[in-house]
Amino acid sequence: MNRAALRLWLPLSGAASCLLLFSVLSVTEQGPLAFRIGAREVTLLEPRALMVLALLPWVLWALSWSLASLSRARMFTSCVLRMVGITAIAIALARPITRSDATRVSNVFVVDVSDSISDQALRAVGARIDAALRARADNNVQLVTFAKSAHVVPITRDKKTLLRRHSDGSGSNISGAISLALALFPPDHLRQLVLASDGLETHGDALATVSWVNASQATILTALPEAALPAEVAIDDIVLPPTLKAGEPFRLRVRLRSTSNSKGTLRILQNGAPNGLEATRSITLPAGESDVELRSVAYVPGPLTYRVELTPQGTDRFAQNNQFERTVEVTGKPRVLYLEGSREHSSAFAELLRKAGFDVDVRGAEGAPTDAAALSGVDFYVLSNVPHDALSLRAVDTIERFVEAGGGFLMAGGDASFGLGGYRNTRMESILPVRLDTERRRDQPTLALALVIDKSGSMSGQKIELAKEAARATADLLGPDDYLGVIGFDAVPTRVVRLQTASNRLGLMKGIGKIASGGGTAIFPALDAAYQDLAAVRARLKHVILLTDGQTQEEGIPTLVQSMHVDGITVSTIGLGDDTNRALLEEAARLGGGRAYFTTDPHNIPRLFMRETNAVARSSAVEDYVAARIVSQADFLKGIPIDSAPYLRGYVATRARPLPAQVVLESDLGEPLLARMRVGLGWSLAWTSDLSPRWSADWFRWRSMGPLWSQLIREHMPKRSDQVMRIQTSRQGDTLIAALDALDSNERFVHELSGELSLRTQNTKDKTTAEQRAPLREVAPGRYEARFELSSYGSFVLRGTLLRDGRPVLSGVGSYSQPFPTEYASLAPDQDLLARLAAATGGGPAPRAEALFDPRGRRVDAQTERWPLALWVAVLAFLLDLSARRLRWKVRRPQMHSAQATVANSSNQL
Amino acid sequence: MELLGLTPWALSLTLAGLLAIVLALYLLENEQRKVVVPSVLIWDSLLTKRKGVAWARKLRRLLSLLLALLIAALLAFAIADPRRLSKSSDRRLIILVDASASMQATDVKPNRLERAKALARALVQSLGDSDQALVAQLDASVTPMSTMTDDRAALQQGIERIRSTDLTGDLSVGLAFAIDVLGQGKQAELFIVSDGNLTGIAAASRIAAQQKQLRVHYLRVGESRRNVGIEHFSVRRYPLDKMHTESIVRMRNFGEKPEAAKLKLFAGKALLYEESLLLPAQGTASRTFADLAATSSALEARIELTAGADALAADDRAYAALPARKQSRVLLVTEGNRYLEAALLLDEYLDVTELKPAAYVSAKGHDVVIFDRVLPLHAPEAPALYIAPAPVAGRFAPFKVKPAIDRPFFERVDDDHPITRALALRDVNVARALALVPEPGDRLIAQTAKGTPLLVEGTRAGARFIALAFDIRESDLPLRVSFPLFILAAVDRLALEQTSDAARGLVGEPWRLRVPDDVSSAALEDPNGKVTQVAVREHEARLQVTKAGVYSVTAGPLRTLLAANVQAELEGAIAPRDSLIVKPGSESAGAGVGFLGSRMWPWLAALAAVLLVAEWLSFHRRWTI
Repeated sequence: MNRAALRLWLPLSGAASCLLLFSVLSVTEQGPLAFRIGAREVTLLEPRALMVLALLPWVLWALSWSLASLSRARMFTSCVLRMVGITAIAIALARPITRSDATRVSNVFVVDVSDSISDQALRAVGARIDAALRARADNNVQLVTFAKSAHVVPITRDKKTLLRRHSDGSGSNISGAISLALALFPPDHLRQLVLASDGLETHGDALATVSWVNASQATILTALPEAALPAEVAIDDIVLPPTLKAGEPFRLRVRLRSTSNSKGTLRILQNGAPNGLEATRSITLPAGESDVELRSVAYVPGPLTYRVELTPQGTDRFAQNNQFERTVEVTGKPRVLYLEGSREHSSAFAELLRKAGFDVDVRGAEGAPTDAAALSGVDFYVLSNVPHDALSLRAVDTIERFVEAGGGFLMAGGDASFGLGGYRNTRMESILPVRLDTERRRDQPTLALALVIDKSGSMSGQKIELAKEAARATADLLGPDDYLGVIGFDAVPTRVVRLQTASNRLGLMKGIGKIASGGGTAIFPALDAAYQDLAAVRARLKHVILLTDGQTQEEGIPTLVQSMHVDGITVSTIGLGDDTNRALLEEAARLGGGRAYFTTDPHNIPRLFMRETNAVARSSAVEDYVAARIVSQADFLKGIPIDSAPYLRGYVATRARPLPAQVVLESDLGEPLLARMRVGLGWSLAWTSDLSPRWSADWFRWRSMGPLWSQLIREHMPKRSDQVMRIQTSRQGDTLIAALDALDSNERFVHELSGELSLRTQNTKDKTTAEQRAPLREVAPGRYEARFELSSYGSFVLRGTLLRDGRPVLSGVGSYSQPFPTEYASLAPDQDLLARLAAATGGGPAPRAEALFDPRGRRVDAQTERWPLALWVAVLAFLLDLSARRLRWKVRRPQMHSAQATVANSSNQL
Repeated sequence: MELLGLTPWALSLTLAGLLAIVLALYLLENEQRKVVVPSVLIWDSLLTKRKGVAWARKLRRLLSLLLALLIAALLAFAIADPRRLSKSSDRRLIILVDASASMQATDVKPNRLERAKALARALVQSLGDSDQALVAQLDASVTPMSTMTDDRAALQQGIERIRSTDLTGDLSVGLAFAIDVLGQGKQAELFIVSDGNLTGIAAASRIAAQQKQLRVHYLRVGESRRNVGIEHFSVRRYPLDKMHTESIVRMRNFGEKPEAAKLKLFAGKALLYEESLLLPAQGTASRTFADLAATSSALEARIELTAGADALAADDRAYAALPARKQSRVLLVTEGNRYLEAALLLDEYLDVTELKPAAYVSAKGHDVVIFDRVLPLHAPEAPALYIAPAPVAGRFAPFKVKPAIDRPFFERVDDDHPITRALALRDVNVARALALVPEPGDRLIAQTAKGTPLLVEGTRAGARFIALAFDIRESDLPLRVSFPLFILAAVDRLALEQTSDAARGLVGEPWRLRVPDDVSSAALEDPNGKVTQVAVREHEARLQVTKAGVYSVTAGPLRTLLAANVQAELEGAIAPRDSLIVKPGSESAGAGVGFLGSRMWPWLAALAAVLLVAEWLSFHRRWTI
């Protein structure tokens, strides 16, 4: 071998080696390399190991400068064998595998050991597993047990399988167990899951695992542990009103379930203490579902947890579901706002209500709320003997809105109420359940009314306009047979409306409109003119209302008024402003048999006119002993002996409205004493007698007075506050989702609110409370959601407020109850779920042990490692290589020539 | 050390045989090469000279023999597949590869999931030969992609099968699965390949702290936090005015710099709205739209950044769909009731057929049947609304009835019930009502103060019903706004019309869709048009999807659209976590983590290959003979 050849072969070998390395790297870039040899598929798992082949060129390179004294044939043979050996090792390092079909079966038993599975059923399943172990041959059997979590349990053929329960047996997570079992299948086996469960899953979604099972080429065989239903009684629910008022009796309903006819005892606890009205009850449970109603009352505001415990007679599978808890919000004592026109008479009724469990707020007429916010928290509004003119328009509007929004309202009678209080033809009348326009009694007189109105220069502007408005309102109040005259006066009187019947309303209004201010003030001529006018008409009642705002001559007026009174004409006076001659007006009213009013606010003029007109127009008060009698039954009269009620000493005469108004009590004279009517979402009531000792003195001494008013108010107050929205709840696994809808008054969604919900639970045994908080997030237009992880069982109260810029917009209350795990809530196995699982994965009911290992014609792709074979090839090639180099290839012939020299191979070349 | 390829006896025999053969080959007389020379004189001196270095020749011969013996022994041992019984043997590993939505971020190339899979592949590559591992996909749940095996090919194939989802990853689920599979073994290790954007970390930490034997490793992927996403997009009908809708879209900038973006809304391919806006760093922006959605169309919202795409595209699109309003076939059986007829006319999606009681035969083919003061001969085949169902001899009676009650009021109303949730019934005046006797299981929607049912819901003879206890003509209910709302709400409920539900869907969250009573399966068509069957249980199709988009559900005559979105408020925050803090003292590992292989045969075989070449070279250069 000369150097030139060496220079040629060395780079050639290097290039060839690099080429091989590059080829292997490029071919094996994608990972395992698969190809077919005949019908057999071969895969090289580590194809990059073929880089060992890069050694081959150096084998050839060695030949190019070999010193070995081998013949060409032997050299060639040896070289080939050496290369075969190295190639075989390279192939072995590439980890060749071949694929073939296998029919071995791996059965993973997935056994439900939750509490809903009986011990007997578990023993039966254990025996089934043992039978499978005995019959398995070269097949595979493994075991997973599960309740809320799943575990792999080692099993052997030599030891009896013992299925132990888990500490978290109060739940069943079939999907988790299947997921775990899928991880256990050995390769080269047909995969079968033998699911021994009742199918009652409390966590996860087994059907959602079907796709995984199918992707793993596994099938699910089902083995229902037990067919017969065990004897079981359970409490399914406690049905409570959404909210309760303190002191308000109600009925709670307990929903029960039993697998057979049985008996038991219910024990009812309120915040851990026995239920006051009914603490225990013996019950008979029919097979199936049944309801039991129990009476109760809550006295303390705040969350109240009801706990019902069922003690069954006879066998019962689970004790856990024999109890149930539910919490309800008690919103405090019902609150009554009591407006009394004569405060000195308010104490008796207020005390009566307080004794009946109400929170009473007593106010005078001046305390009438004028906006809805002031009435928040008020359940019932009593307006007793408050004249209409004592209420502002906003106060009246607030009452109307309160009732329409669901509140209860009652107007009680008195000498300043109903028609006597000036409510006729007012907005308030429209929401009363009685009519005020027909209370005139047949023996009542017709009225002749003269309005004497100061129209001097000092009355100009707003004063005179309000006086005209008052005159118009007065005209409206009068009946068609009444007479009305209007005399405007300054220095001289002017008959702006001549005395005429009130039926000519158009003419009256027109005349009143012509009043114009200007000039001085002279009352006497005006009063005298009114005297003359009234004296000339035939009317049972004749009355003058004098309105003035200034000083005038006193001379002659008292005498004139006295004369008028003698002639049956009464005089009332209204002084406007600070400059009036108060003494004169008071004296005139006194001598004239009327009333004197003084005000500095001209806006009061219309009210004073109307009040005065009502007072004089008619006397609808019936002051006589009357008995109450029931016209139509009402729930609040239950237990009230109206027939034995004492007499009332008077009432305000009204007339019944048509339906939907309803007269509940009436007087001997057939006039309403107590009537009610739905207004919007609330109730409006009328008690035409009073709430003071004047007319109801005997009723206040009556034993049933308290219960009557208590029941009446409770029945007609709102059952829940509509300002508070209900919080809807749903559960996903261990997560409680609470949702609150935010809608404005137009039923449009409210966005961009913030807030949080609190979730409180009270342990009724140790009286401890726990609270979680979670933010409310808008998850859909107007829908706000909060999520809580529930780590315990019991009854929960949800409460939250949505805010905008830190100000409350909406609040919500709700409750959620899960007193025991759902594992104990259902008894019958969910065969439908098991059947669906099996069908969706190509399985079915699990067969007997031997048949579990029947491949049923199925085959699975099995892999066989072939690297040992390649190494054997390498060994063989190496041995042959050695042989080729070291053994004689042919039999030695006899020596033919002495000069022939035999030298050893090792020394035959210099 | 243990042998898996050959038994010790087989190895001994093999070794003995091989060594014997090699020895024999060396002991046997080599074939002498015959060379014809003219004289041997010259050889004498040469041979004499060589006798002085015979020891060297013997040594070369011995070296050759030893090499041959070593090669044979190495190959024999390799075939015997020896394994070391070292501390690292029998390791059981779980490799959880996070496939949640945030792993679609492209801040690392090609994306986080592919990077995670590459890390997982490297892990598998470096597994010890006696190690067993399981590869699983982690998102909202855990999906095992392989069994617990030492078969690297199976593990690699499992890694390849991992696909990205739009779900939220839950670490606690993954950890619980790992603990279940690994049991209490001493060599249990969990590798989490993730960006750390997972939920349930606190719960997982609590679980992990109780597992003393389990070692947890976190392999982090991801670099950037720049992302803007649509956090929320949904459309909803108004509770009362179901003909109109409102949509809301909320966007969030998860990054640390303000981003200029463009919001686009589409109905199908039609662009409905476009707006340029500036999202402050870590800030949100919301927009609401009235009547954006047509009756059954799907909406799509897109956000595009002016300064180039962000790292995560999955939350740049969101979808909303209204449950389709179907044409419900309503059969009204009445002697004539203008109020009812007028109320039913208000909903254009009701196909109302009116029959005289004498003409009624069957309710088949109808979604709802209304019996107004009459009762059928047999239980109706369709859900029914009974109005004043006074029992008549010989006819089907859903209720027993006690003596009628006068002037009942709606005193106890279930305000949580879908029918009465938005109705004001407490001021309804009723002249008289039937005192229905409810059966166990019936839901009393409204009652009088004494508990007498006025409105009841339940099931009779397998068909759902709602019953109103009084003749509406003997009340002022028909004169109220509540009346048509009540009738339409009752018909909607019986016909399974879900018009007022908040149409919000998130991938991974269970979805329950009420289907007609006689339907036992439903078909779910995904956004790519692939149809799969979904289970129906208790008249509900139970759905759960893993990819965002608009899905179509067909269940018998019911066909509706459902929109599923990425839970962007969780997945959009793509900044990778430095530590999962799963377990105090657990190790975090980098990409180079690996194991010292304990399987020896490849090393033996590779050494044999090297020696074969070395021996070949030495032979031909006559360094050995």
